[in-house]
Amino acid sequence: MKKIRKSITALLLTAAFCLGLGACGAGDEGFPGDDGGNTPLPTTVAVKTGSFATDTWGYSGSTAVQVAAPANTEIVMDGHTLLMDASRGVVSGAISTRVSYSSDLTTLSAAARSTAPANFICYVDIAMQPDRTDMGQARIALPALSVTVDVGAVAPGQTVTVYSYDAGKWSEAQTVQVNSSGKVIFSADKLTLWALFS
Amino acid sequence: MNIKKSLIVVSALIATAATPALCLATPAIPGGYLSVFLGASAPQDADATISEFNPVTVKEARVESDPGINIGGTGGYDFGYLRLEGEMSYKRGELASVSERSFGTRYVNVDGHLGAFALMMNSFVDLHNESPVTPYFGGGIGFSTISLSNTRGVDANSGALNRHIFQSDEDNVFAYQAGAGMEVALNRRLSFDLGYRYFGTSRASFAKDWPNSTDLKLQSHNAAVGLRVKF
Repeated sequence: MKKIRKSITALLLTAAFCLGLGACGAGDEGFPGDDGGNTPLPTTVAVKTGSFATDTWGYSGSTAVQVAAPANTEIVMDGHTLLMDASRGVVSGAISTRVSYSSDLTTLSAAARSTAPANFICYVDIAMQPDRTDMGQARIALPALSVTVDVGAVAPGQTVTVYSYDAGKWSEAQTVQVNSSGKVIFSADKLTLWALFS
Repeated sequence: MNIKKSLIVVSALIATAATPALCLATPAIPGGYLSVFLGASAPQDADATISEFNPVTVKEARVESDPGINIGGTGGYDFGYLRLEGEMSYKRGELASVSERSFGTRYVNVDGHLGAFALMMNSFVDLHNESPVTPYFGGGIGFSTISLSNTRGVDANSGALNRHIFQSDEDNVFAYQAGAGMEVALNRRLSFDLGYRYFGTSRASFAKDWPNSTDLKLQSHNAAVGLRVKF
């Protein structure tokens, strides 16, 4: 009887030790995608980070900037693009970018998910944050960014509707046709969450 | 109401002081003098070169200013028909708009100023005559500390508010001026000076370090009323 008790105790201790190690490992992973890679994550959200700079007047350089984005998306910022925060204040200096992509609706926040239109395809979340602390997050790009998204299963020629999600509300932005490469190209003037619906 | 009364009293005192002058010519009498002056400075549109370091860009911008204050004083010696003097002055223009040419960016509702503290050596020729009014002309050279304030404004095209059109800085530069005016004698020691000066500087560089630098010349039209005391 004593041997059985000892064996159970030993098993429990071993299990607890293993769980502890596992927990430590999870803590070291950090935010998915912070390594700057395109590795698909367990949450099915692909994230890519990058950086660029705007001058003291808030404009990007004279040549177009390819914003770091996950594999199935491409974001291009025209030369001399002006970045503004929510109160239309110029955003200047070094800018950190973070673009997320997913075709899994459940990875959206509960509020966005519950109010989303039907027939969700995928989303692209664009965030740009200046290193300077006296400026807000960039929310507006002028001219608008060109966003290309691979919509996969949607057949070329079909149309999809592009929505933006801002301040807790979905707004229809434009209707776009899927091109022969199975991609959708739309303009994003707001640096926020954009989603495609069929 | 009190201000009105004060103005009337001051005007009456000036008129009384000036009465003898109407009967007297101002002879060319050598001697030292001191003066103070107050007026307005109207900076000319300035062409600024703004060099951005990240991303590397060069902007050419036209800076327009509204008139501001022009205040200063002089101390010198009157040789009879020639005066030599040292001048200390401060001129300031309020920035009104900044327009960039290449992309058409135009900032309005601009809040900022361009100032010049100047130390000048001047020389003026007095054209004495039979009247109490003595015309003069001349000019001077010296040094000026040009100051550019942190400047903010609204982009007229996009409505964007830029809090950093220019960074606050100052630079010491060569300065020159030329002008003319007239001295109106109130009596043998005291006179009014109504003058115009064209003031200019060499190119000043502001915020030469990160993240950008701005270069411009200050040129301004200046008018002032002064009071000169001879001794």
